[in-house]
Amino acid sequence: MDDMLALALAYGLLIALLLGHSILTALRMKDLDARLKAAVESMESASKVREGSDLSEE
Amino acid sequence: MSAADRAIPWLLGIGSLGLLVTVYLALVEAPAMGENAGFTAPEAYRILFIHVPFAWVSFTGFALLFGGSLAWYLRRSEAGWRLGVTGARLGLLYSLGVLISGPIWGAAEWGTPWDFSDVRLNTFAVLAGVALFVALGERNSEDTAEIRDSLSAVGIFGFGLVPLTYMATRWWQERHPGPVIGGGEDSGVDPFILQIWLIGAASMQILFIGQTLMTMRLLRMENEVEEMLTILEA
Repeated sequence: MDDMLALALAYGLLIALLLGHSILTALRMKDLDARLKAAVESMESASKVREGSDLSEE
Repeated sequence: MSAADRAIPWLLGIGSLGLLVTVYLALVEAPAMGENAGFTAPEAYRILFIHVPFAWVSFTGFALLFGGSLAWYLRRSEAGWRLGVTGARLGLLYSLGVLISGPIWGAAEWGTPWDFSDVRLNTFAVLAGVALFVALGERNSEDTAEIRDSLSAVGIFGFGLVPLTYMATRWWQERHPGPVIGGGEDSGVDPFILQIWLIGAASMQILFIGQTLMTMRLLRMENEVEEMLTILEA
């Protein structure tokens, strides 16, 4: 293989390693953000259900 | 969103752009090095324009691992623990860059990708092993104070390899080239080559800061999700 082509490939792979890490971290953050929102929503609905059952008992 | 969080995309963008400039300078503008410059492979040396910045920046990762581990060990600091884990993950990432690019040059210039008698190569490989151990240990173990203590101890004592790796080419030079900056009268490098190294290192360092802030935020979010799930389960 041509030396310069091999070098360009190596550079491409090394930069893909760095940028790929950033992309994967960003995707993981997006996933966690969605899970956080879902957890907050289920906490809110759980507290509403509790409040409703407290009122009906009264 | 904090100022640090808002800075993340800028740091990642500027760092990536700087790296593309480095690639152009390394592959197009840098001159070929013939036998008169002491190289047997005239083009392969161009990989060093990314190998050296990878190595310099990887030490920042090991420094974060050391500082964070110390903060956890001495003060039980949560932020310190997150910093240590971030240092381990990024130290591993950047040392992988060193361990991939180095043997490419070694294979072309020395005729062998690795020399087990060279102290610099071996201490750096063990240092990468320390980062790998802490990064995997944190990910695959239960999150307890005892586990954190053990991993922090590895991070603290493993850092001893940093000065050893730095001094290795001064004390026992075998294959790896000697220091080009601050290495005495025989050291030194062409100003243009140094300029490309510095542009590469600065770009990579900016990218590293962005990745550090991003990883710290990720770890904080993971903690928040776990706390919420614990509350919901209760």
